[in-house]
Amino acid sequence: MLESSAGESGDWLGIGTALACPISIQCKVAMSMSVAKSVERVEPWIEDRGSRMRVSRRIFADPDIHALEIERIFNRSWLFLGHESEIPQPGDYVIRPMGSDQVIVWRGADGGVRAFLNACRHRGMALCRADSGSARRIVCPYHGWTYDTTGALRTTSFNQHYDPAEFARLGLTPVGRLERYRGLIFANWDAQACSLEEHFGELKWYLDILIGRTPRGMSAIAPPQRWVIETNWKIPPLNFIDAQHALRTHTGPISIAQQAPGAPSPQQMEQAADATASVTFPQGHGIATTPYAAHLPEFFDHAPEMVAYYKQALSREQLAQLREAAPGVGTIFPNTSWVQPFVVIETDRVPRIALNWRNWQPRGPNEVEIWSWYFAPAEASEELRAEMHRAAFQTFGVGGTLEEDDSEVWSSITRTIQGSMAARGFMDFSCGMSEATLEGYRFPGTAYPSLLTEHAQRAFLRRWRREMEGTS
Amino acid sequence: MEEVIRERVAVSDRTYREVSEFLFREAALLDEGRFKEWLGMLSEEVRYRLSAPSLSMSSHSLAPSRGETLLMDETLGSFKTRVQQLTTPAFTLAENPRPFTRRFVTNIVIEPANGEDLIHTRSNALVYRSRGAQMQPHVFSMSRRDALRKVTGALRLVRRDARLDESVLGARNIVALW
Repeated sequence: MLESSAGESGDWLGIGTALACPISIQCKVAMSMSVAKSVERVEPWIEDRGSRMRVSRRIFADPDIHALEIERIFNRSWLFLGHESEIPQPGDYVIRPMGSDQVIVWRGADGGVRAFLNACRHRGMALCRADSGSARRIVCPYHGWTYDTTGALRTTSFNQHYDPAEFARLGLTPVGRLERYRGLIFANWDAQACSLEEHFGELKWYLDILIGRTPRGMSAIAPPQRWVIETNWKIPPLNFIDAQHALRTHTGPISIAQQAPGAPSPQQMEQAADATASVTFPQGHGIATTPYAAHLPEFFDHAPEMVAYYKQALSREQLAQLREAAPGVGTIFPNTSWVQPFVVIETDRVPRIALNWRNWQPRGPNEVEIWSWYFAPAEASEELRAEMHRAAFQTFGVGGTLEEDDSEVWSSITRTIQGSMAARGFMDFSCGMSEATLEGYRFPGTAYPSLLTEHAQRAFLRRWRREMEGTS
Repeated sequence: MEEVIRERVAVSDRTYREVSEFLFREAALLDEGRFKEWLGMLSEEVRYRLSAPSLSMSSHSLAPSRGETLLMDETLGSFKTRVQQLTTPAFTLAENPRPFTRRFVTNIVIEPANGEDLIHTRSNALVYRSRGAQMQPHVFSMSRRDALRKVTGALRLVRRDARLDESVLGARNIVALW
């Protein structure tokens, strides 16, 4: 490893064109490839054969591997930036992470949404130093360079000493691609990337159930919760497609919820999960569908006035899926997840629950900033939105009764695998590997018979490996 | 923005002392993990909210926060669930073993009574939490606005609006922060 670091900096300095290179990413990729070769030489990242998948623990802790992830995954993947309802008016902006950078997500004077690197083209000063704001023009506080919502440089404030022809060259650096889907804003640094729709693939059918279940779609209830925990960014999205842990890590809140009259017993829950499909997608996405106990009334955890909208917006098949085994928890490769739990915290009533939308933002190999939004249908009353918000963050959020134990597990793994001996081990992802796909599954995606297997996590890790090896 | 604290606070020493003792006793019970006894300090209709600011930039104002985001919004029923979770060893990973916490409650101000039977107070709280090498020690800083009521001679918490002084929490969770 030390050798590779020395070699890497040697390569870096050896690239004579580095300073002239218009897009430094090209140079960094060259550097990353040498790191990739050297770290792969030590041991394979992922062994994926027959009925066994083993993953080196180093991919969850190693700084060199993480640097490569930034180049090969975060600088080339579709990343979630926010929801349009967060920037409703022209000029509104939010500052959001995108890989190891920050971008301004800005509603234009024309109503369009654009995203730019949050860095002045003059000296790299951050143009916005808060989480949000509203402005038709942004002025760099350093020397006064001023940009409009299209990213164009309008003035340097000392124009008499500049060649006006240079201005067109000095606009804000835009993201490679930006696309919106039903209010969700995604962007990709890679201008040659596939479309967002291709990236979703068959997951789109389920996303429509999640965010398009009413004609006007979802909107964010409040600014996102944000907190930082000591873990690798891949642990939470893998955890969000891990159904086993729900029955073990979350014994406490689930046992308490089961004290409610009519609630299923732990055995019934386990049987229901074992009889419910785990759904995977070749893009690396996955869904842990949420089984409903057979005796519960349909849509019992949804407001009746919203169910009427669902019937307008969804197909019969989508309604059936939502009713039978909702797409309750899932992950969109690489670092977005959602959860819509119906674990009740006050056992005397069934609350309506908001859709909790997540970003897992790496801050180095061993730290992640969690972004947690709460979405409710735009048609919902303020009162219903408040109820849905509360019911969601009481279970999942920095103060959530389930989340508090998840974060304990995630940070404990990260701490443990920094040990020199523990780091040499593997993580096992073999559960259910030799099982065939579920016959007769009538909804999109590739389904496997039990939620309690690790098919979805393997799909995520295989995509990760393809991106890291450059074989996708 | 919060209104400026009134210069003269027209409450009796006795009330001030009662309120202070209530807040200190509450902090001690929580520090000692005596959550069930702490539940007894809450009124039946208690509503507890904890929020964090979200930083916004404006050319008109230096106020750092435009939006607040709720992190907790609790009732007696939800607190009972939380306490059951936190006091049953098999039901909690986050509090097993329980972290060390130490609460410092200061700057207690009591607003003059305005006819109703509620006593409105403001206070600052620092909560230090650590658990050896397993947890980065963290200090939570917050302002609190409480409403208290005397029920059969003893004060009870009716309402608390606590606001954290950080927008991105540097802590893995906020279990038992109350």
